[in-house]
Amino acid sequence: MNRNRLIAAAFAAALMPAAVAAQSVRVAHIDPFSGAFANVGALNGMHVEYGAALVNQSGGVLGGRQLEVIRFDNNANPQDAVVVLQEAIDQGIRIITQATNSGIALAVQEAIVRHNRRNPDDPVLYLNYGSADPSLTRDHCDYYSFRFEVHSGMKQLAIVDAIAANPEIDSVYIIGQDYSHGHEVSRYTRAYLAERRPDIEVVGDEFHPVGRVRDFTPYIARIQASGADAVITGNFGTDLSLLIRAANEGGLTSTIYTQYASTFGAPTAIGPDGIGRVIDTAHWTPDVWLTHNTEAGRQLVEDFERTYNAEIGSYQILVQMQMLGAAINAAGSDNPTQIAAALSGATFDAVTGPVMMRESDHQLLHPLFVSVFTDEGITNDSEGTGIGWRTLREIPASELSDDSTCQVSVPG
Amino acid sequence: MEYLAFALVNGLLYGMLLFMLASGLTLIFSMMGVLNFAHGSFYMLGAYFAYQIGAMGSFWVALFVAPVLVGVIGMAVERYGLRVVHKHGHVAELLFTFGLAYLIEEVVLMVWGRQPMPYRVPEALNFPLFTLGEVSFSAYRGFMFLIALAIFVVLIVILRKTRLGMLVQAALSHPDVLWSLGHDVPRLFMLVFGGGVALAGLAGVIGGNFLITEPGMAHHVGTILFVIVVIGGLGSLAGAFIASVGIGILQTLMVAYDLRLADVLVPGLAESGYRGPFQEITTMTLANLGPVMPYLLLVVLMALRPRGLLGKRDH
Repeated sequence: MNRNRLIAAAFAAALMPAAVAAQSVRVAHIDPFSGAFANVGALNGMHVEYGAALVNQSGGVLGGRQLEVIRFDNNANPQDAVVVLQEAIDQGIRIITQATNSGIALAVQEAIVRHNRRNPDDPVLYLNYGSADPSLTRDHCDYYSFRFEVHSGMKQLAIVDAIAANPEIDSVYIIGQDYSHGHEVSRYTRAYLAERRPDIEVVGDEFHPVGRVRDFTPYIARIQASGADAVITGNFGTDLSLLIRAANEGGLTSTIYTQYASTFGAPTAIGPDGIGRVIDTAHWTPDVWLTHNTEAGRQLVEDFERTYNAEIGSYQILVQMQMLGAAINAAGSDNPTQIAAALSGATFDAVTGPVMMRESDHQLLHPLFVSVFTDEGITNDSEGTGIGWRTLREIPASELSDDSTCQVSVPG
Repeated sequence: MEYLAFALVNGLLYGMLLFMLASGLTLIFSMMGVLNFAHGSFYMLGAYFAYQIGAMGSFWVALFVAPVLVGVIGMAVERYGLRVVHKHGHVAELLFTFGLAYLIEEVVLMVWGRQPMPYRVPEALNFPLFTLGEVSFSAYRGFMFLIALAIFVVLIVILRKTRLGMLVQAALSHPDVLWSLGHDVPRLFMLVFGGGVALAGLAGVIGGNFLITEPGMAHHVGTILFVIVVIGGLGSLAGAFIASVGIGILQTLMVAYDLRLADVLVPGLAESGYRGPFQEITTMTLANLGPVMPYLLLVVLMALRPRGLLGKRDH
């Protein structure tokens, strides 16, 4: 008797969240929430949560239902990510969002594609807000997978455009980490330079071991000797900071074009060494909303800062959550197939400008900003360093190079 | 020629920085028989303390205060931790320092977080000292070099010329005799441990702003340190010096010379654009082999001469 009552109580307790959940549309956010990359997960978590709150504040979805974010910890590991993905699916969640590391993104996407092939009547939607490996929408594009930030290749095209527009640049030196990302950056750079400015000479193209170089001076010496006007790198983390530090110390005068100098922690690590020397391309910097001077942008930045005592870093996550909310409402259903149909080709007015979800490969086109790291002429600095990003060049979504080579196949 | 000189100077500098870490580690090992897994963590603590003191006061205060703080923590660890664990044998001590390394890392994460710290080279030393070819050598590098050299000289003088040094040397080989002569050997152990980690702390102070002060820094130096003390011969200061400088120069030179493996094996092979079986290996650059070299040296040396370059004991 006693035991039965206990089981009944446990049963009721287990059912309770399910009953609440029936009211809300659940989104599983898979990210590293513990371990070495917990800070990245925590930061992304704020953005996902805040994005959901934006949707809920403006009336929720499907006539007042709420978007509910449930977190799953992937320990920054592809195997763990696939395990918790299955757990989320078992709990009945059909909308998954995940990014950070492209290795994990590829594993999650593959698992979701497999699930959808086996369960065509019960598919799962995958929203990727940042994993930048081009192959995710290039070689592996999929009807149920959407990417809300441009991939590293598209970003590189914007960088090459900025270089091509500068007549003072006659030669470039490409240096990158020796793995797929560094090689993709080099490949895209060479291909587009040949197209846009064939007169620019690539005087160096080399790869260094990932995360192993402590002193970049020998590399800097080689760049000096090559006489390159500009340095192009896809480096991030310490590989980027140490490279810039060595450049400053060695008296290198070339401008360094980067992809990751404005991401979390990088402005602090680079510091004054990067002033006037680093030109970064990103979807967001602390001053971006000012150039558009939108009231909505100001409110967003201030409210986010008030809520989390942190700067907006991954604005694309907010865009993703708002576009998801709009797509659910447009579809009139929380069925992944219908949401996917509504998302494909959807447009949205972001505070950085209009964005569009490309129909062919489900890659979002959004504005990019080429900006210089400086302490002059900025309003908001990065990470309290006193140094920020001044926009040099804005590339609206409509002017992003169309590199789509993949075509998703519509199910059924 | 200038290029070679520059690479040699930078390699020597990196080697000297490594020696500041390796000297303490090898002294502690030869005296107490403990391979201190947390040595890199004390290096990290030195850098974080220096950043914190520098943010409140100045770098020059930090230069003296931070290593002392790290040394005091080291002595406390020896007195209240290692000495207690000591009676349970070397494995227990090893495990203790292993746990300590993680403990320090977690504490650093809790206090300072995972972001790199804005710990900078002092303005007074942030100018080019001289320019070789087109590359300049910063004053801070010169300063690091002087500090490392001074530490090396002071260490030799202390060990060779002072009474304390003689006691330490005696304790290396015959601790029992020293004990029975009425010397306080445990106190000596405490001093050596504290001194050794203070040196690591000092390396952190001058290396933390030169490189980057972040929670991964302990791990980065940790493995290479063990390689150095093992190659040099466990317990041998001179061996540690040769190994540090050798590895420092070797790694810098391998990066400095943009050669492909194929050109070294068969001259002209990579130039000819060889494509075929094993092309991944023939197109590999020496720079990418750089990080492997210390470990390769370690493995080869262990097979040929297990006690290391100048080690005295075979284990």
